[in-house]
Amino acid sequence: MSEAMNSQAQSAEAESVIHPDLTLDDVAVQVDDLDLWYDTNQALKKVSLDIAEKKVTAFIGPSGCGKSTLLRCFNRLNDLIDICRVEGEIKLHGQNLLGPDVDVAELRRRVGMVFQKPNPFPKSIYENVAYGLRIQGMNKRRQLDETVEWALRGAALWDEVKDRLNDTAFGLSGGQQQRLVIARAIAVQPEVILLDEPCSALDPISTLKVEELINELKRDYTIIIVTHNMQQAARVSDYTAFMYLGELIEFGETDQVFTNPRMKRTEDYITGRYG
Amino acid sequence: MIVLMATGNTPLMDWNIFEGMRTLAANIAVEMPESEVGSSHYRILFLAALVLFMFTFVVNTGAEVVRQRLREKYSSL
Amino acid sequence: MNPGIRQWIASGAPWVWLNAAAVSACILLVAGLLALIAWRGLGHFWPAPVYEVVLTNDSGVNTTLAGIERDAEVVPAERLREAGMAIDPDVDEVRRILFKTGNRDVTGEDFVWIIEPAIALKERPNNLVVVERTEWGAFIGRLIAVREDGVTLAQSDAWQAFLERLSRADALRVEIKQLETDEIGSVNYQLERLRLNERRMEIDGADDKAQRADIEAERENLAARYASMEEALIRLNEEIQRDSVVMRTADGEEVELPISTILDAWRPNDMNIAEKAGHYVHKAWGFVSDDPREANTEGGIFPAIYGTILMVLLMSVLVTPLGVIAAVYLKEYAKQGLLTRTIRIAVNNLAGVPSIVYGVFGLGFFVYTLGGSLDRLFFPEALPSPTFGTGGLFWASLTLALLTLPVVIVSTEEGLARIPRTIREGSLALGATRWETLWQTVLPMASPAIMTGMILAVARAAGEVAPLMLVGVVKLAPSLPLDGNYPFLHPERKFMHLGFHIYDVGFQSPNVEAARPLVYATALLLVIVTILLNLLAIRIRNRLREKYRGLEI
Repeated sequence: MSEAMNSQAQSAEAESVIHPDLTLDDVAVQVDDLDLWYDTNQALKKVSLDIAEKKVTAFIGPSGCGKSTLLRCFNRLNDLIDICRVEGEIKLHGQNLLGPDVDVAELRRRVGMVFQKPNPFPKSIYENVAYGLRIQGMNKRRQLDETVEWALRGAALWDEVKDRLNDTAFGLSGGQQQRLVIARAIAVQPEVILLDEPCSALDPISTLKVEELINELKRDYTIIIVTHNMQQAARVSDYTAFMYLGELIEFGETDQVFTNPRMKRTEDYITGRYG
Repeated sequence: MIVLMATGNTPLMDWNIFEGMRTLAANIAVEMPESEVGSSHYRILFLAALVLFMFTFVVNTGAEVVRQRLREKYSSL
Repeated sequence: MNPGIRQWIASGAPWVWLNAAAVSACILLVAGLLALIAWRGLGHFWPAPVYEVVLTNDSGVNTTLAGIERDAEVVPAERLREAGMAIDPDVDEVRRILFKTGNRDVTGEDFVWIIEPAIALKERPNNLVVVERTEWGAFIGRLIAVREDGVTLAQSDAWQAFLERLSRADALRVEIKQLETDEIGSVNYQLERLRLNERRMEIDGADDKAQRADIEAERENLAARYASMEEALIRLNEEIQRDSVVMRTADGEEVELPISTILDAWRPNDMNIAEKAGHYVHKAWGFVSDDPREANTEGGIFPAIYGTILMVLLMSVLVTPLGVIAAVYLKEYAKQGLLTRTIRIAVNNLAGVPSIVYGVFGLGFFVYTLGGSLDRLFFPEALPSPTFGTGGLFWASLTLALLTLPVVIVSTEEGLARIPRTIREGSLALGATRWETLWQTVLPMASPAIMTGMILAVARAAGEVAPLMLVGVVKLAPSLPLDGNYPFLHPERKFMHLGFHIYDVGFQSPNVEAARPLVYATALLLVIVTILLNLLAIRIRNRLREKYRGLEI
């Protein structure tokens, strides 16, 4: 276990609690004392936690608690916002990705992201999936074909689109578009996949399909999912982190957090006293 | 150019709107090819162009400032 | 006020009516303008009937005239009485007709005003001929005889013989023109380049005997070619001088016209509709493909069309990359603050500056300063004759590119702003750099807006004349800026422009009456060329829009 987690576990007032009996076999990402400001407004306060390798970790919490902000730190999308300032460390397999000489483009290839609203490019289905591959320099037709097929199979979309690969991506339904975006993300073989409320714009059946997909994907990728749907978090994730007003309140195995929360705030949120 | 053709291109100064006249722009266009490079005539034509430019610059900048202000005022909508 | 009316006013209906009235007025104006230009312009080529009139003047003397009716107006009789004409006292208004009689070499004037009361007889004889000539304008009269080498031929059908010899002369004329313009022109061009090479050697101080010998040999070569071409030219000229025709004017005077000066002849009263239509098409085609004659009052306007289109294309090639890159920088890369705000204000200001100021800037900076420096640095051998130090195609295109730059920048920026952030983020999240995102995703999606900017730029540039007058357009250009001589595109050459042509022909030509129909025809052509350019660009833009349609939702 990392030192940060130990020291936090030992802090008496325990403003936030990492479950002390939490053991992670392999740590993919380590967050150490992360602070984030939008101008003068502090959005993340001394957040520290570990993300388990090849498992699903969920961030839950009420609106505005900073879970999406935290998620976007992992692939440094917050860099796009001028007024955003970050302090602390985030280590991806041991390397601090917040350092000044980090190749951000390469980082974003290793840490893929799927957004709330499906955002396929105005290109064909094939070109959407091949986009990341072409960026990486792959241009042999056969190789592209194979990788595109592999990615689409991995996203459980291949059978539905295999005879219309050259049709525009906008012809797909919302759920299919989201799976296309997932295929696009896994095509470049990332290490971590970030999912920012991926099902909130989808209908229940598509949501189910995506949740099944997440279950399969975790065999190969580390997954971090932000969701405001607690039942989804309970169904899908192995570990859950509860955040409130920019602070990490509780973090532990999903079963434990939902059945036996240590912090009162967690309990209030889970039982629906505030949302 | 339109004004050049429609006003008769006569350099008269008259308050009567039915008489011909010559605008600054038309004047420059017509006289520039005939003036000698570096002469006073040449320089005065350049000065006329500068006056024209300053005129439109002032008007345009004023309009832009008003536009930016209005935009901020109504941006919350 | 009647409560019903008050309600009607309160409902806002009057404003709607006012709106509709304004829109209708605009449409009517535009349609009327186009119709007027089209009518006057298109009518120019139709073979109008030729009349023979017998006029009686005050002293009872008859004069016979033959001519084409050009214009007619009604004037108050008082004015004519004041001018000294005897008009019937109880007539208030008199209609008078502008007759184009041609024959300027015989009578001294092309046009004559005839008052209707003075017309004793007006006929349309079938055998009146209208002849288009290379000088002295049109000739109207009757064909008497055809002569070869000065000897009158006895022909049963003089008219047929005339037409045969005319087509022979046409073929010879084409050969002569090709020899003169293309081949001899090419030789002259190469000689000039040799001279410049030699001069450059002198200036550089390098006196290379071998090179000088080369140049001399080349010069001899060219001189030999020139000599043989000159011989061929002399021979052709002799051949074309062989035939001539004798024509009689309506007045009875006989004139001999060498066929080498005759371009076309027709008998308008003898033509049926099909022949007239054929004549019309032939003349219209000649208008767009021939060179101008007689100080631009006759002939075609091909060089002007060529120059206009070439300049607009060159301008688009210059302005689009410049504008797009500037807009991309302003929107994507620059930090949004006071500086970018100031730049945007400056760009909007530039859009409102009168075009003549751009012309003056182009003249002062591009032509004299930049052009002068270029001349001193790269073309010292041509001095004191300026190469780039005077107006030309390149400076004109550059000036207009500057003029239309704000439009392209604003349009591109708006296009870029409309692209949803999620697309950008999606691309970045896949590991693309900002540049790759721009190039692969954002710019293609903004391409309809970029095309819009280009359309607006082209529309504006095609119509601007005032700045061009200062930076490179001339009344008559000796050669085209894109021709068969190496290096094929000559950006330093002066060129002709449709808009300027209209101004020049309509307001500065020696024979305004003769030129007026040409002005309308040229104006019509300019409108058509602009519409075609716009339609082409709009079609490309619509195709691009279709491709990226889904995103507007």
